[in-house]
Amino acid sequence: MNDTTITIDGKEVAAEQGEMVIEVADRENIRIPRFCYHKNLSIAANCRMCLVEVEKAPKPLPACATPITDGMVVKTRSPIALQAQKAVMEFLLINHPLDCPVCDQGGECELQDISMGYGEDVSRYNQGKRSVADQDVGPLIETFMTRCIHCTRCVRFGDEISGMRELGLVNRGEKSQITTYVEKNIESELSGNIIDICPVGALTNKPFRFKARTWEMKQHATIAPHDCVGSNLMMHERRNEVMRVVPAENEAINETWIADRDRYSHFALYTPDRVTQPMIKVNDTWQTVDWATALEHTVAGLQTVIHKHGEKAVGALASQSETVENYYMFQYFLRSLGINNIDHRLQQQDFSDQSAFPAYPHMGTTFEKIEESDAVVLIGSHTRKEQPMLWHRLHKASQNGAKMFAVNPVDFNLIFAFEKNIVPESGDLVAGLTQLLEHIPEGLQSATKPVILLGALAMNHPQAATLRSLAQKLADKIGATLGLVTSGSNSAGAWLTGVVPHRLPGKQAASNEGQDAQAMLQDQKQAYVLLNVEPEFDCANTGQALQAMNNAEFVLAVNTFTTDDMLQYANVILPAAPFNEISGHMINAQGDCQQFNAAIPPKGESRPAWKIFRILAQLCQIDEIAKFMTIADVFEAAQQHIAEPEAAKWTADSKNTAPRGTIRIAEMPIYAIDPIVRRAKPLQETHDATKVQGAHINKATASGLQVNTGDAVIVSQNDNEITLSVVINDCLADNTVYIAQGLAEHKTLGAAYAPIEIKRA
Amino acid sequence: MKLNQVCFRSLEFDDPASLKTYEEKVGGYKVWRKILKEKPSPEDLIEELKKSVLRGRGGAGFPTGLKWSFMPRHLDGPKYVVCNSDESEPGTFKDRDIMRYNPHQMIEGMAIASYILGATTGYNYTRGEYWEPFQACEKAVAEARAAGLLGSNILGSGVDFELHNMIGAGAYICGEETALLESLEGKKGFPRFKPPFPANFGLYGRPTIINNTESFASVPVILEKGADWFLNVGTERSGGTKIFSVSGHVNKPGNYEVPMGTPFKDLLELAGGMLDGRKLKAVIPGGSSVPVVPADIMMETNMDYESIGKAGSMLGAGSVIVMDETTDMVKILARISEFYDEESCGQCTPCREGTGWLSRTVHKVLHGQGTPADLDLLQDVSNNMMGRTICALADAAAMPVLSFIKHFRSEFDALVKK
Repeated sequence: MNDTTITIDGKEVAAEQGEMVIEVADRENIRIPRFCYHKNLSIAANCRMCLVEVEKAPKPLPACATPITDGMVVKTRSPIALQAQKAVMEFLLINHPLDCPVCDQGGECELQDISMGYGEDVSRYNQGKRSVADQDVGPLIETFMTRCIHCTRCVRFGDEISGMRELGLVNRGEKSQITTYVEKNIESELSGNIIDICPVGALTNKPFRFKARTWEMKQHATIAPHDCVGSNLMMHERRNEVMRVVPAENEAINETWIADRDRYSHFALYTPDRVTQPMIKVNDTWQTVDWATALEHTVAGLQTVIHKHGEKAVGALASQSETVENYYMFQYFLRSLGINNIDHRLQQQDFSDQSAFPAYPHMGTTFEKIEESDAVVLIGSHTRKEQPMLWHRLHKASQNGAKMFAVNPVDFNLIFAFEKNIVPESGDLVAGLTQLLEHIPEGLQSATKPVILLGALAMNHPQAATLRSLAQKLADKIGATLGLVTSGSNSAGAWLTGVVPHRLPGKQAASNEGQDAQAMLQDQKQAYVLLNVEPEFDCANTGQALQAMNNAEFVLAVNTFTTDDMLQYANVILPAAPFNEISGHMINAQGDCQQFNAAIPPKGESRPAWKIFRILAQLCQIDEIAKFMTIADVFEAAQQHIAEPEAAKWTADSKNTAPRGTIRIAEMPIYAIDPIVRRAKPLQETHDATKVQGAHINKATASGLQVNTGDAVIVSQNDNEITLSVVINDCLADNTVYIAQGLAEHKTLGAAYAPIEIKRA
Repeated sequence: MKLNQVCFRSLEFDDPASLKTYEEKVGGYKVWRKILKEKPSPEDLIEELKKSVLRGRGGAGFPTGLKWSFMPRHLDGPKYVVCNSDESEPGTFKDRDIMRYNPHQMIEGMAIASYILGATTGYNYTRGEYWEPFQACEKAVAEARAAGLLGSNILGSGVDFELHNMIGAGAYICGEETALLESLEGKKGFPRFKPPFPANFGLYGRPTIINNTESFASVPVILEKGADWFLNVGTERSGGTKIFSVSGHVNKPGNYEVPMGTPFKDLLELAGGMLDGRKLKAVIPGGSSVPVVPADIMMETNMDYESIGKAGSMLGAGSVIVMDETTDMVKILARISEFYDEESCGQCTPCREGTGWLSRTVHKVLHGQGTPADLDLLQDVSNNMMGRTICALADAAAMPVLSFIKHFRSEFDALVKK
């Protein structure tokens, strides 16, 4: 490294062979103006703004595409360089509308900024300006194509990052325009990034449009709470209201990108079903009360149940995306009361090998290392929709030549091509994985850096333990890294702080092992404590969960939002502040423990969940609670249990049998994954949100039922029937029906990979 | 002066495009057969080409032998030979006639190139409007294939070479070699940023030799008659003959293959002299993109790379546009500028925005609505476009503007002075 020296603007700097001039200049903080160059995209060299003078070159050269050579002398602000840059600036501005006052990009526009330095006051161009018709490309992105300066960053983003060529440059010369060609939505789950990379106001944030000016907002660093990547975010806030979210750069995690889910979920924060006041139900009527009354009511309710039925009659469920601090105080409070039925694994169906788990489930590798692997096996992972930024790394690996393999319940479109993609009948992933294990393809056998990842659809499979032990065998045979990709943003934190029934914080076995998430719903409890859980959406068997809630004597919800059902079954709802209104830590799939601070104060009377559990503990007269004065105290207590990722060895087999007959395949779809996302209106308007509705079956199943797309079918699970419309989808295997979880219409149904009856309506 | 010694050597015979004529009368495919039999060292063949001073006939004039020596011949995997028959420069129509009347010589040249470079696949890319030449090439390739001169294990030599003709969709920019390669790959014809050059990163990212039709068609003759013969036909630094496409105000417009270094006035005479005996005003010697040369300078200039360079222009593709004293130079420039406005691919800012600006401003001047400031603006905009883009289209649009105003300022002044 640093084997070469070049001179930029009189400063001698070290550089590496193969680097471009602009990379070296950026590192040295020498600012060269640019539009088309983006460090995470391929080089186009078409905007010509970065022209610089290079000694001995006959004409100015683009810094973005000029490789350095030893002894090179570059002048970025010499008369020749400046003249060239100013000339390009003039060309860029002749057809650009001077509508900055009404343009959403105004104030954060690269063209505006650079024209301050390189543009003239008065234009020499006095002819008609080009205008281009706008396109409706869906609910997330607003287009104003007259402002486009044809840098093609958005086109390259589609080609290289999202893997979907959704935009292109049509026509020639001055008539060039960026377009979807035929009128269509932009559907990539990473699409919002083109708003950030667009240097002008051609592509802007549609739901944010005309809401705020950049100089009115303050920005706060935070962490995305929807998946185990832990993308770094900047939250823009004006007068204590979140206005928008943009990525914060972190090359080790999300590079310069974020998923649309992380960008648009904040629109949920101000929906009418947000709870901002403590609420108690008295004589079947909800009352908004002060904290003291609500807490008193809570303690009384819980203690009544405990006195009457014992601690075992209480079940406690936490979401998979809480902070370490929330988790810690949640279990601290419950365990102090002797409640051991504590879990966060809401979707899981097989707990038989839980004692063999390492301190916490993790990916076994890092995002950056995945890019370098030469073979990847995905087992039960719809990675593209589950963890879009992890998918991005897999996509890069595939672009680098890695061979891709999968065993999935559905032939998901993951963009990259699979060497082998097994989609077993009846969702029998064990059979599929066995097949792969018995006939290991050559490309996998010969791989030197293979990675095996088990995704949510494997983790939540009724035979998850067997899948893990089979994956272990495969990993041992080919020398692969084996990793688990968990749901939620902080499953790691939940494990480490003991939000599982069989372990106390720090992997200590619990002396009184409680019941897991499934058992505590199957085995009706008299009281439930919920932390940001909406059981009728979030649990594996939603129909059963709803019934358990409805039949309980006392339900305490420490939640950010309410649901219609919750207003029926809950007795107390305490307003928990969402992720952007609290501080804390979350641990991602590669084991980074990331700290973030509240962007804005909690809305109304909401409080961070850890404070709610602290005061509840205080009211329950738990002596030691006094030591948790501040969030730092809580973290300090939790921190000693936060360990480095630990290797696991999976050998146990599941006690459950393989699913047989017609089986329901279900996943938490990308925009139904958690309470926040489910309420984000812009996301709910996307194709990704709507296309998962209905009962999806393949052609063979459809012809067996004599139904066609759009026909009504009656499906039943848990003795509950619902009517759905048919979607014929040949990505499904025989004997499977895909009916998504997390959707209101499907809440009375049962679990995934369980038998389902389907008949013509 | 001897005409038609190289690329047009089939013209004196009946049915010049047929394989029969080419083999029996012209003596074609002799070199190809000899190479297949004797397997000479490719280095020697490249040396021969270097010695002949064959310079690329597509316009840039880069020495062909030197270009071929850059190709990583020993690299494993596919390598390609591509013939650039896009010929889209206004005023150029020479490759059309090679393809119509002597396609086998181009095929033989490409076959030889494939041997030298170790390529097994070749593409001949013709412009979208060249349906008839394309058909002629299709026929010739079929004939050659039937005669066993193309295909696999050609004439039992163990050498493979398959050739495909391909027709574009009518974009000027696809004559730029990297845009041509993009188009050939099925993409939009956008020139690529260079380096890397096609020799290392060409068609489908593989080492590729791309040359003009006339360059390929010259190769069999050079290897048959020897580099010295070829060099001696032309001048010291511009070997061989050159086809000049003479158009405009002459009595006999057409293609004339003459030795390099032929004086312009002799070429003009060959073309039947000035139409209606009018006086010569100016000549664009290398296609619409090169600077215009006034009559007095042109009449003293010889037709080779160096002499035309000295006259302040470029030989280009040898497209000689002759204009007489009745020509309205502003009108000509307006037409040329409009062409480049239409044909800019739109990739680079200076060209995308500048070509339209130039065209509209020249039209404004032409229609008497310009001001003296517009003339300064035209020159300024042109200078800001020159050398600032990925390919040379911006230069092609700028050079006519600069040269027309430089040499015929009075005509422009007359229109802007109220």
